[in-house]
Amino acid sequence: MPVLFEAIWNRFKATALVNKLTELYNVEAPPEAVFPYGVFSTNITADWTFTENFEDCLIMFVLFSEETLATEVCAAFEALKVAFDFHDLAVVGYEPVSLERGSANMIRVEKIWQYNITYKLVIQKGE
Amino acid sequence: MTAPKAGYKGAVYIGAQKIGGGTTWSYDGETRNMQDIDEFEDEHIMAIPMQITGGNVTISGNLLMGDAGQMLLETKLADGTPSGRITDLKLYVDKASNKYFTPDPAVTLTVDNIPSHAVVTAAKTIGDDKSGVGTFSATLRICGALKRV
Repeated sequence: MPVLFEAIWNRFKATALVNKLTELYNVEAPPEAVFPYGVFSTNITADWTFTENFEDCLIMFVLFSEETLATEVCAAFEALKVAFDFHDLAVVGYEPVSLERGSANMIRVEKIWQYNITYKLVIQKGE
Repeated sequence: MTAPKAGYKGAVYIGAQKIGGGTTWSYDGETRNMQDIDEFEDEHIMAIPMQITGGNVTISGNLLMGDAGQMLLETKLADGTPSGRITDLKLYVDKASNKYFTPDPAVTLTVDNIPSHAVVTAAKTIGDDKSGVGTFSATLRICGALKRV
């Protein structure tokens, strides 16, 4: 769903999150990506009623930082919350229903901080 | 197109006063009284419609000891005078876009023109549990009708 990808990216660009990450990539960061950066991926399930078409979207963000302390990646996480928690995400052709944060898990792998955050987005297709 | 509203967008207000700690509100709806008109030897019950009865609103959530909204419900319960009638109850389904249910001022009592209102019939319904948090609930009876705004 390109419109969803654009909506996520546009929200990233429109908020202070853009000051916490060098870039937000779709699915995979390129080798030349500069820390700190973020990656998002989506998992979409169609949800049909008699008259409406909903899309239940699981959005997974992963924030990366190579700093020794976790301060940087934590600041990015805080900015992500401000940007996306309960936000009416503007997905072209759809009405926003809900956007709720789920789990958040911080790990460190090979001296790289990773913050894994999930959101559940529900949108309804327009007529 | 009208999309459904996420529950987290809801709220309950009396005038400008928010009922803090609320996590759920529900209205069990209006019902129409029916009067049986059948008689001996009728095989089936027949009834004619009578008046419409307003239902009960239940508000529940987390107990907040200092919350002015929760305390206002208790104050309204104690007030059996006309000032205890709540005409500005707002049961929001979307606070940000100002979508809510409220007593309908167009539905009035014929004789002295009393508009629709809510009356607190139960408050200070509270509890606590060591594995959770303190809870509260209150019940309001709708006299008249609610309308969508």
